[in-house]
Amino acid sequence: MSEKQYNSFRDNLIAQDKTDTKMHNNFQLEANKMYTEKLKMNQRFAFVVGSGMIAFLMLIFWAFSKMYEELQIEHATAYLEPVRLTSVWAMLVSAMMVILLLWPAIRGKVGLRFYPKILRFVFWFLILAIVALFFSAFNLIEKQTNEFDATEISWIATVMVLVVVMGVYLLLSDRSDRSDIRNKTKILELEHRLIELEEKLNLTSAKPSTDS
Amino acid sequence: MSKEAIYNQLLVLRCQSGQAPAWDELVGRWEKPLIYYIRRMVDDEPQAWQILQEVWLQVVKNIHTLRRPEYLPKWLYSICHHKIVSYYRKSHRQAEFQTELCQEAHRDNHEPDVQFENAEAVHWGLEKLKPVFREVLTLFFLQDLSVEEIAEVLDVPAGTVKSRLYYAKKQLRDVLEDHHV
Repeated sequence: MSEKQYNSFRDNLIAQDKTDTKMHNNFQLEANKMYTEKLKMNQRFAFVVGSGMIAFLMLIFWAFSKMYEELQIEHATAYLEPVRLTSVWAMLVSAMMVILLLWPAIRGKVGLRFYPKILRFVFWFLILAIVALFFSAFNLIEKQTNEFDATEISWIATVMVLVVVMGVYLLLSDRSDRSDIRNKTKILELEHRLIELEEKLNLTSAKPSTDS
Repeated sequence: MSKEAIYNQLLVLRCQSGQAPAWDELVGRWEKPLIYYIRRMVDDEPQAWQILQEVWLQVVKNIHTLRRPEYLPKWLYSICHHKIVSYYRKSHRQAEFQTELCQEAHRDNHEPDVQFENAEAVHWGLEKLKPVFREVLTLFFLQDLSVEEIAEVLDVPAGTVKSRLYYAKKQLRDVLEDHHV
């Protein structure tokens, strides 16, 4: 059997399968909603628990931003401001996270295309904020106790650098994946176009000439 | 590479870059062969559509993990196969697969010289075969996969696929001859 014959055999075979039109229509309707996944009760509960935990973290960050205002130390602005700023930063990012986690739980469905990416992105910012907060808090504690612990500082700095490097790596690998997809798409589009042109040329050369 | 294969790969890449129309096209192109395969293995039609929906849900979730777009057919049929196996497991019918696997392990694997040209008869005959033969023959007739790829989808050696194909074709021919089709 030639390839063409086989393709028509395949198409005929598939055509033999008579499916229920109602079920088919129902599938197509559902397929249109494929980008969203309906959440079961336990999944919704997990989202609520997750957002509750982050909300608790948010409260801690809020407390941090207020707590150090009470401290009486020299050059307060230089040492307190970083703590306050990073606390506010962490608080805002956690608030975003709480909204992001609560939203699908309320709606009962979650988007599959962009939601996981956004969640990952915000989560990475939250980790970065927490590390920055630790860094600034340790700086302040050392100022208060007047003891300089180089090991602690270098540990925190290393973790911070690692988090930043990880984030940059993720961003860069995402960019490189995208450019790889773009390049492959262009090459395949060219190949597809070439085959189409070849087919057209074959058709034209197969037609009998009308010139006398 | 054929024009169809190139276009399938293009659709995968477009889906990976988040183009919604590419999704509709991909579903449209693959819906019929996939439901044909699932329906041959799952006799309950609503259940078959449910499985297809689950397959597409998994595809949407994991399309970004498909690094080689040319593996799309194999990937799609693999997901279908796993969903079917899990359906058999849930409905306590796994034995239907396993008994057959034990029986056909020792058979030889020469290709029979059988040609099937009547799609209607083949479609009818497929229903009469045992699930394990029906599955391999359906994948073979759908012509989207090579023997090696079918082996990967079914998670068995290529030799086993050849052997199953041999006996499946033989059984199908016998069924068709018995019923004078």
